[in-house]
Amino acid sequence: MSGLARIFEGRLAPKLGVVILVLLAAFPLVGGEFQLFLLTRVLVLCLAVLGLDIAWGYGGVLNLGHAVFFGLGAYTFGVVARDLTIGHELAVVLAMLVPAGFALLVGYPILSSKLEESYFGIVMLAVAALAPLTINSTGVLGGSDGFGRIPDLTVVGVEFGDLALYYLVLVFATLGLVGGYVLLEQSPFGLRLRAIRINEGRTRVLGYNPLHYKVAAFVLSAVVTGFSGALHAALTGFVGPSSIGFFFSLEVIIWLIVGGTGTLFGGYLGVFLIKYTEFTLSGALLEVWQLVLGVVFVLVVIFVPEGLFPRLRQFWESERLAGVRRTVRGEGSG
Amino acid sequence: MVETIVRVLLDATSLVMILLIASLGLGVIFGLMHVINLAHGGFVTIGAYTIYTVAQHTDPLVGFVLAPLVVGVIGVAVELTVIKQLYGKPLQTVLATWGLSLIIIQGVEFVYGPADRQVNAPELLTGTVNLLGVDYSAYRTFLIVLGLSLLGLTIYLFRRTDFGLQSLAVIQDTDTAGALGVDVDRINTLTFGLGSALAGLAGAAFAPLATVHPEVGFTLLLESFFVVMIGGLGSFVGILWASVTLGGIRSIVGFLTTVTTGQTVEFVVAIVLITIVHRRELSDII
Repeated sequence: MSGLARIFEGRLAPKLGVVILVLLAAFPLVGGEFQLFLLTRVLVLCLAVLGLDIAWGYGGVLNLGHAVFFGLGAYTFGVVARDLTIGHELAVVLAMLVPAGFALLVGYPILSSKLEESYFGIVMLAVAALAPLTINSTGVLGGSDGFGRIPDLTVVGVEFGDLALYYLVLVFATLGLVGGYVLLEQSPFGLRLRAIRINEGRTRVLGYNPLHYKVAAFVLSAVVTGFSGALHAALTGFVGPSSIGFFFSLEVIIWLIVGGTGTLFGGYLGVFLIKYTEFTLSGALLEVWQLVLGVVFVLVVIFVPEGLFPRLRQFWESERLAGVRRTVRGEGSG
Repeated sequence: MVETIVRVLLDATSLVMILLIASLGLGVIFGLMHVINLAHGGFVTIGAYTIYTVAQHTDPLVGFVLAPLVVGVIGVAVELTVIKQLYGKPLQTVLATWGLSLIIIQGVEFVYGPADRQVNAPELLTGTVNLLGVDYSAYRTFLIVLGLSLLGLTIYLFRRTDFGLQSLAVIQDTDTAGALGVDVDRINTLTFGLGSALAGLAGAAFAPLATVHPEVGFTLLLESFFVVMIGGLGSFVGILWASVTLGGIRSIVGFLTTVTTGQTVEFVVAIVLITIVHRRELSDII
């Protein structure tokens, strides 16, 4: 737990995080039913983008077909919760295990080849392209229409209505950030992942097999994203092929890139910024929204490749350093 | 029976040729220049819509000239504005060009709408010709001739002409080529434009065989990346064999079962082949 204690030590971002968390917790007092639904949905998507950040930002595994995990989670939860009577607890677990198994099945053989990072992304894109195609053409799982009437999430006999689901999602979105910080920034596992990103060959010589760590990050990414997909299915009561295709994959990438990869919080920032801009649009502007999004994305990739959050953090830290320098100079000791 | 088999094989060959043309373009951009251009499918789409627009006014044959020109010019513009800033940054290139393809898909949808469009084959090529003892579509025969000629032309261009020599020199050692007086920026722009033009031509060639919609180039994008990854970066003959393998599997399995199964089998085989071609040496794993 020393890692947790260290988070708050003299840093602005975690304190700001607590303020945001309190504001979010108080939101149902002021927000209407629809506003609450939108916010819940955005928080669910935060978990999906967190999943991508684990694989890509920390594991160095570029996944251009990330939606496959989200869709697998959503479809698994949807089918099990609607058709089987084994309980939603098991449905959620399955919605994490199925994407995880798939990640292992696809990730292990491909990652063990010497394909470069970008090539792996393209292979995953192909996998993501096949999934909706199969669903559309075979008509299984509702075909191109998807299917609805997925019941509300019921865990240990408690049915999660809109408000309860909101708090549940908020808790998990927070846990995702904190847990991600402890596991990926503070633990030996996270340290080794970073070492692999910086110098894969040298890390291997030190006795850590990069392949195992990358696959682990990829599988963990699938687990988190599958969970997000299950929550999304429970929230909207509906699953369709759009949740598994390449457009959604691209959207998640755009959120993460705009926010900043390898920062955990950056993805959340990206989802909030972009989704809430989208929600405020209407009419003609909404029609060209994806076009605008594409242009913004390309500009960000060229001019701010590290994303917005690292820029903001840099700004805060330079302010703090300036403050420290002022104090040091004022006291005349150095 | 024999006639059916010949027909299926000829159909497969003509589809392979479209894949071959698109892959030749990507072979130039990705295989030679090492630019991972995910907007290649978008270029194919623009080529298809160019011939569709031409066909509204005049003979679609004009589209075969116009499509590579239009897309070539767009490719030059893309190189000058986006790609030029990202040489040597593969990850940023992947993302920027993937964003670019979103812009192209959405832009095309904004102009033409999401509906499927039809393009007729050029009038000159509407009849049939006698090929290997069967009456076969003149248009598809034309595709086979076109694909093989383009393969020959591309190889000739990079092996025997000054432009090809300079282009290869720039790719192999940019600094030395520049020091020897080659206009590096110009060569890069032109090479990228050439690859884009081939994508445009592939789109124009594909349009009369399929329905044209904003995402029409997407499948060809993935297929041509697979072809270049399997055929070997920098080998045009390798591209031919990989096109034949993947396109052949797709057409023949698609004929025997369903179109979707054909595509699924093709992709699975492609992914397996890629991991085999790019497998690690045992000493790397341990």
